[in-house]
Amino acid sequence: MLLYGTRPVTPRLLFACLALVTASGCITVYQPLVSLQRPFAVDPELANFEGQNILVRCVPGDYVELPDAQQLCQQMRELYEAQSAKVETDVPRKNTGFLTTKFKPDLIVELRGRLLKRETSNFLINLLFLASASLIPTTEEIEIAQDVIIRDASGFQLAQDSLQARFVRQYGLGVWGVNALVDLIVRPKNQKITGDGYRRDFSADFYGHLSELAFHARMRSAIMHEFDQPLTVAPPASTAPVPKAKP
Amino acid sequence: MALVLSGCAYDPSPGLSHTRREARNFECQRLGQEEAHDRYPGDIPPVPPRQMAQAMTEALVCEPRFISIDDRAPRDEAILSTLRRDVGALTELASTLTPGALVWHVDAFYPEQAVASKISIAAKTELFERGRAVSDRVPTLAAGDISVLSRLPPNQAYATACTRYFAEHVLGEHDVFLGLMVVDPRETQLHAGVCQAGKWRWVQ
Repeated sequence: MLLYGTRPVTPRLLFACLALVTASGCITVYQPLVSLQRPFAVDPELANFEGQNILVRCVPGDYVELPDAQQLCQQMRELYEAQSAKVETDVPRKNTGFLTTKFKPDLIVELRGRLLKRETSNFLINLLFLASASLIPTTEEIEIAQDVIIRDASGFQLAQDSLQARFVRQYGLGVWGVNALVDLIVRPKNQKITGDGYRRDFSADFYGHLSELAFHARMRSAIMHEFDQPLTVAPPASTAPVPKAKP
Repeated sequence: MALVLSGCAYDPSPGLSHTRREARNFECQRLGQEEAHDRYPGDIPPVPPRQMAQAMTEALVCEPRFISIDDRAPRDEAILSTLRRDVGALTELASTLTPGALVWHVDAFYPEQAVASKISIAAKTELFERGRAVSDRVPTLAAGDISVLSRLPPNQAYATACTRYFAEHVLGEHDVFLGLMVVDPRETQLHAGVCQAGKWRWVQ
């Protein structure tokens, strides 16, 4: 799944990496921060949005460029369509208004990405990295936020959150070698650090939370309208809570 | 030396010192240096006076969870991890919508009884702290009523139960019932409704 915003190779680090091109390795790790740390209960593989019209709006900005926004919207379309929603996407450009949708949306999901922090190792560390033939690692750290607002067709805000994540990318033969060895000998398969496990972890958290947030918005909308439209997917009777009986 | 080679200075992210699973058990937030120093004076140095007017340094503050993230079901963990905040907001809203000298009865409807009890106690505590009269009595209905209610969808079940509470004199004119619940088992957000004088009203 899409992991935009992880192309933070600054020219200085790019130069360093290129200088040691094949001799050096890179590992990236992902750490969930605000909101992404919270567990979710919605299964993104079930029909959670049957009968729902969802408009997904991916707003490009300083951090998320137009192609990234388009790709994100495409991923979001697949995410919600897989959960039985009818989806339209909108990537507003500068000087253009919002899309006029073919349907009346039940939910309007608006996504805006922000870069919270980008930090690289200082000059001395980069020098040591080069001097040691990449045995001493150099590090780049980025933190991103995906602000999500979900409204109904009238513009009333049903849910909002800011999903934040931290990525630490370490460059160097030393760091790669040690971790590859530990992966090979010690770590179980689903806990390996080298490779693209960070992408899978982030995608699972990110799309799981976006599914849950939209589901919460749907339930809140139903309650606000006093369930004037029946829920198309009723909760399983065995777990639906009911008032208590007299002992 | 191995730690230096692997760039594994103290960092909460996955690496040699933490597995990917262990790293998820940290609750992290970024604080300004001043606030971080106030909270953790032994670990974070104060802001140098000359730096005050300039851009502030930040600290990533991570604390291990009291209960590991895998120890409870995801829905229970999500509900309980923000219980105080969520219940506080719901009780505030409910007590604003229902003013007056009333006796509050509280119950929670959640698939797991142990979690339902925690939700209920949290709501009672919040209401009590707001100066409301809170009863320990939980309103109950006859088995026949429950049999009917259990077949109704949630939107009708709570309203019908409210009507029956009043008709059966389980709740009187000066009683108000606050129900907290998940309407759908896939949710990790709580809803609330208030029953007063036989009328059910969703709060959120």
